[in-house]
Amino acid sequence: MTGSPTRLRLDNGLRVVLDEHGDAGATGVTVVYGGGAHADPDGQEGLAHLVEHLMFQGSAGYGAFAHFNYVQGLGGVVNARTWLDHTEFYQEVPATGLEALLAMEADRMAGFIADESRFRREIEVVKQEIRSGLAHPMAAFPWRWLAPLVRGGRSGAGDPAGSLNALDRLTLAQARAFFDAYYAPGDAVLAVSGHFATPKLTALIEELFGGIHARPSPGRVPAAVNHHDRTHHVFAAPTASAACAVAWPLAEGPASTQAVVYELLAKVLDTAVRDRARTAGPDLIRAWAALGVHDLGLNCAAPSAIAAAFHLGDRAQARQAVELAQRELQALAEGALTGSALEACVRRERISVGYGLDSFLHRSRELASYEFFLGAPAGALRKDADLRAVRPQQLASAARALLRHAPISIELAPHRESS
Amino acid sequence: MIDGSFQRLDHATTTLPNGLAVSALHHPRHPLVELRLAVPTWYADRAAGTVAAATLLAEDFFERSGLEAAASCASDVLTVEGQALPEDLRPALAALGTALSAPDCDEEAIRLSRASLARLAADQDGAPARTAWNTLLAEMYGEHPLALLSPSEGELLSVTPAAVGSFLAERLQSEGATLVISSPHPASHVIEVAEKAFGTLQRRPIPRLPGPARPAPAGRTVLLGQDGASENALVMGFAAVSRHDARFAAAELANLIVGGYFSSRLLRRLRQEQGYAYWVKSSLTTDPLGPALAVATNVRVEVSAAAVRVIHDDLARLGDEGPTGEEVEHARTHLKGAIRLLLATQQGVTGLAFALARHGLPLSWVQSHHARIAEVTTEQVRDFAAEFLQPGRAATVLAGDGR
Repeated sequence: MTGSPTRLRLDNGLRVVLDEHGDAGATGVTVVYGGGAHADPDGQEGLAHLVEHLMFQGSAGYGAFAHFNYVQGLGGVVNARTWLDHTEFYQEVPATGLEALLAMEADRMAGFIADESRFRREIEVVKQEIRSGLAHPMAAFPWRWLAPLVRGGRSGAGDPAGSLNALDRLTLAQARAFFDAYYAPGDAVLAVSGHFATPKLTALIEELFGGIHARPSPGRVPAAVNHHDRTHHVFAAPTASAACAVAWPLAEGPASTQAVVYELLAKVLDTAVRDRARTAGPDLIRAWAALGVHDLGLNCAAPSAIAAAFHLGDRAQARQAVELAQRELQALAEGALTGSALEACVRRERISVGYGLDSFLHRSRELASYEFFLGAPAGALRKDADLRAVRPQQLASAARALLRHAPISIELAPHRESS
Repeated sequence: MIDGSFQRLDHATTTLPNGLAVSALHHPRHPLVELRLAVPTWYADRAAGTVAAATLLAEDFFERSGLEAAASCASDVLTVEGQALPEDLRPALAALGTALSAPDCDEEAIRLSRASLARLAADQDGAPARTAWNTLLAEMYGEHPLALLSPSEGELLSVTPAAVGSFLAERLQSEGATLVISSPHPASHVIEVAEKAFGTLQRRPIPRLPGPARPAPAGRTVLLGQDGASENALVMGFAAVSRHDARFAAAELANLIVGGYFSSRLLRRLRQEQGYAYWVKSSLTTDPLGPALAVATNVRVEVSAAAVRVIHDDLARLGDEGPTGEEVEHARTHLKGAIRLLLATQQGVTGLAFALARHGLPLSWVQSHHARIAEVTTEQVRDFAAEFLQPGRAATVLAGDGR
């Protein structure tokens, strides 16, 4: 399953990626739009998320809930997600449902729909989603706290508590304006992976999406590495136990050729901190390392970061945990990784890549984000070969690049401790 | 995977002399070796089983075998799930066979696993969702082994290395065990490799099983942790029917219509109409000793009572009036389509074949089940709801996040 995907660009600017598997039986469809939480105007925090909810419900030609009822009626899966710098709608259906599904996606891109009562009700749903997230902070740890520190830009962007306060003040007109700006075809990507014939599907997509009017898009919200605020940050959270994390921002954006090196480095660091943590003492609940802001891997605009995170039984261990991770990264920078340890990590990562690409839903999401952020969707399908080509010295060099700047560290303190 | 070709898939099955049933599935497009193993533990000591499962695959297991595997223990089964690159088929199976036939769990390894599991349990023990589920299972199943969701910190800490040793010696065995492997290798070749790798696994006599759990919950509502709480984990449980019951297909459709997918009644009521909850989910569990249907959601404390009323009213109405023909048709096509999507991936194929093998069902069961689903009427769904899903028969638990 490693053929090259077909790329198209419609006259209205919509980019399309097609990954054909003629007899697969299933098809994954992902649409990515350029607006995420970073695009929320000041005082309108949560707007991108709310618009995603409203557009998930349906579109002008189909009415409320028709879209996901259709997908569900076919046994498919459907969901949407607002990230910091993009919004993603994704679904998988049996191949027979593809044509109607694309018609619904085109209708969603074509026009905003929401009446005042639906708008107000959806605000309550979003608030409930946010409250649930706030009540279970470990599910979003560490990226919810690290992301605004790793990235420059407005503080508070993507902050759930902030948007909880702002949501009630939002208006339907603001939501419509956000849609008009950020759901424009010129800054969107449609990726389809699975059971179809490319020439026929190309014609269908041109027919369905080609008529959507091009409209100006504000473009990407620039994000830079934050090199100024590298102190230790402590946040109160309703957790039963404490947690801490240390992150090394990638000095430059992850160009596609470097992507797998950073992915592997994160995997190697993950293996190392898990091994050390297991024997470190009775108060370390869990340790892991990962690449990517908001667990997005490289599926986000530069910059990203590698972070090691620790779930602690005793808050006093935070410093030791951070030092443990720093020592491990330092050792990797000094070339401590043996060929056989690298080989084991490469095998692990290849299994994980094979596992992911087995799913047409996952393939469409990967292809959409590689096209959206890197303009090179084939990279999503080439990872197995890229992983096998990585040499130990590349990892050491990537680790040294991370260590050139001081890391950012954060700590979650259970706020029940003080009561 | 070609749509509808499940039973035509190149596959081979055999039962080894030691009782282990092995199925191999082959498709040239499968990217990996996918493996699922179930060893019945006959409701043995769950805490000891949990520690044993965590210790079974040594720290360097992956480095030696190329098999990325995890073992876990539920009430009646120890399960291993794993993936390997196709070229690692032989070392992967050989290493797993050795780990199971001659477990090498020294005391230090057991102590480390126990400490690590206890730390995780300690962190979760007070969480409202866990409290709610544990309480619900106790309400439904009393002293029966099914009442245990997962062992607590205290239960785990009290597991001795000797208890883990006995669990491994007595319960890690081949009688009634099931192994399913999918890969890009020919099925007959995989069977040969598996025979060599797992042939030395010992067969043990089946111990005496507990009887069925208490059949129906008593209609009680339990409130926990309400002081200062802002949100409740709300769970509700009903007795249901097992996979072998003639009413199972109706139960599956009823589950979907109630809360089993995004187009369900409860999601529409609680999320879209009332804005009480972001999610709500119902699910069927099919343990033959205590099959159940459970509904779970998270709701704000101030609307909790209203949410319980909405759920009770909706279930009562389903039992009185039945579903609409459209609802049944939608749920029916969903189930059929969901199986088609499963068959499009190696993970789905493997998972489905494993579920069938565990219940002793052939791959052709999928088609016969499609036929049973196609025949379910609105009246049968109504009758199932009227018999099993009445508020008076529900056990309901609200666990707050207050302390």
